[in-house]
Amino acid sequence: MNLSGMSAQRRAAVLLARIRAEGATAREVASAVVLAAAEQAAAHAGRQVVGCVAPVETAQARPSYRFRPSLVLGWADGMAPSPEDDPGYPIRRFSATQALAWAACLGLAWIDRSASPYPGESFRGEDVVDLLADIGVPSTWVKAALNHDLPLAGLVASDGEWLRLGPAAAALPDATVEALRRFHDRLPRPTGFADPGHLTAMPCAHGNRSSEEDAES
Amino acid sequence: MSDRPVTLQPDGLVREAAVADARLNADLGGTRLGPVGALNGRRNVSDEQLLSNLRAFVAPVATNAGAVTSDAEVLRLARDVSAVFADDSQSGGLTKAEVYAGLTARRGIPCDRGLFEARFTLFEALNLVQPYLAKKHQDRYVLNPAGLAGLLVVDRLGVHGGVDELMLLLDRARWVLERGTVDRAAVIEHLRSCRRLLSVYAANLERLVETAPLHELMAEQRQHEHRDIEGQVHALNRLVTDRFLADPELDDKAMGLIEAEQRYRRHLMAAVERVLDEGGNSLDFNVLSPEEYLTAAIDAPLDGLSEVGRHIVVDPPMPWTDPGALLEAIDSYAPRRRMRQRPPEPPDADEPDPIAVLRRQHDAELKRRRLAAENSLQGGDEVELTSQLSLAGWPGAARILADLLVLHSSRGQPFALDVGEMPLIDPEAAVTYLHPVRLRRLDRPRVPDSTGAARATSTNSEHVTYDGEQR
Repeated sequence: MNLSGMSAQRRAAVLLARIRAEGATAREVASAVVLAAAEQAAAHAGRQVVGCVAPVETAQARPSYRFRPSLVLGWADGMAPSPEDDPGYPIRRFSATQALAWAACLGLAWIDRSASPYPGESFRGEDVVDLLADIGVPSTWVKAALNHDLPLAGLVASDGEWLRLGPAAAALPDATVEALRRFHDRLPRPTGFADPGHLTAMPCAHGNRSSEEDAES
Repeated sequence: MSDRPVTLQPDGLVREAAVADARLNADLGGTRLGPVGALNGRRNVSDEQLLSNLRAFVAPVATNAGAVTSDAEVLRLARDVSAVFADDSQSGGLTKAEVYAGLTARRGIPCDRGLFEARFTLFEALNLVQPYLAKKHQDRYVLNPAGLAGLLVVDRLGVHGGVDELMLLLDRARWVLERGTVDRAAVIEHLRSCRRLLSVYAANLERLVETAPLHELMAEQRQHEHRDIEGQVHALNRLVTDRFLADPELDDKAMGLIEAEQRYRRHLMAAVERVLDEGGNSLDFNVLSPEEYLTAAIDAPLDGLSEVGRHIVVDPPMPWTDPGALLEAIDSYAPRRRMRQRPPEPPDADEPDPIAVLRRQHDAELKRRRLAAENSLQGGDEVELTSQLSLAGWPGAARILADLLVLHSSRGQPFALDVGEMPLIDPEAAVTYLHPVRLRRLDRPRVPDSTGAARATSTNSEHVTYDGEQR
């Protein structure tokens, strides 16, 4: 699409539409002016543009689906819908297996309760399958959730053999994060999680050393 | 005592007019006795709101705060019991069993017997149902018409929360004035009733605008929409002016009614403004009813419709991941102990067991090799096989040697093979390259040597035993 003749407001509208359509859009596609206009338009609609690192396609001839700085739409503070309080409209919910798979991903990625769950640590799908198999969840269903449902919802993203929390996890409303933080200790984790060395750990998950690695060294 | 300001619930004021008009509007065919919250397609308040209205309604005659039930099922039961009596065409009333049977037939499913018994006893104590004959031990009952009227009033409280009574009161006041036969005192009383009701609704709206959450204000505001109360009040004022010329007291009453209506309208507009402001900003689609959206889609100008979605962001319908559902899913699964279980025995089949076949073949092969070794030994303890191998040719020599090596390395086989280091090379023979080979038996007791010490015998296993111990 040729956007050269468009005003910043119109480009911002196109950017927001693209983010909504793609789930996450590469940060580099928008100039600072357009991004500012998009943030303003999103705020007017009770939304906010959230930065994240996600596997996005770019126009350049680079390997596709690389993790790049990206943009995702979240809810402005206090504007997130609350279907639990108002059952007046239908919503789609995860099945119990999908919800458990998401809880396990969150439990493996979100180790430090005081920190934000995103971006968290990378983890292996096999660890999620083994973890949920221990509590009786069929592994085929867990694999289906990991390979299809959760990535489609943007909650989990695949990084080769590793999994990360996806762009939708970056855009979780604050109220949701706070509620999750309250039962952080109940998220599925392998027994003895206090020692992170028992898990298959990615050598350098996000290019930064985790606090646990720093403590060990 | 709390000094918190309190306002009068409009439903309490509505009660008098509602009771008075209940009989006029009674539908004895029972068509209005539908389930709570679903009356003839008209917009109704929620069950909770209806029961709240009822509590305010009966407050003037209640003996305690628990006089009104909080269970909507109790109200449904009363409706159905009344409908069973109303639909009954036979004379002589109904027995309790017949009422229960009629209730079950009406609902299509059995009613809670305990609840029915408890409520029927209460109905009898409060005279909602009365014995057919005023004597003891009568088992046939009829419905008290006052009770049916009371249910109809409840119905009307459930529709628009009682705002209908305001319109009804204005209609009645106009009707008595237009008829021209009413006296002055009755007109004053009608004007006073209308003004009081408008004032109470205005105060209630003012309170809700200032303090109520948006959804509560929206529910109240909806009860007041599409009402031409202003037109009704002004028409009533004109009738009073025309009918009672130069009557300062009536003029004053009519003016008071207009002022009350203006105050009511002002607070109603404030409620509408707050609903539109907050509801619009929150993109809450409940601000308008589905019928209003449909009407707007058909009748509104194109420019106006194009503004509707101007600031609406539409996302793909992603699953909602609320923490409560996540916790519920976690709680629904408990860690389990994994126990390995032996797979079930396969049913008997004609197919041979492949493992047993291999085992039999192995045993047969071992037996063949052992017999061949025994044959080579010819009953002796050891034998020189080099010449035998040389004569066996190729590949016979290799086959014999392989069999002997297998026996040598097999645990439990009493044979040992000694292979010498000296190479025997004969370019002309079938076996051109050969080492000296000697086969020995290990399990036969040896003759004691001259020192009298028993020589050990052994198999190819690591275990060494002595003759005396074996016996």
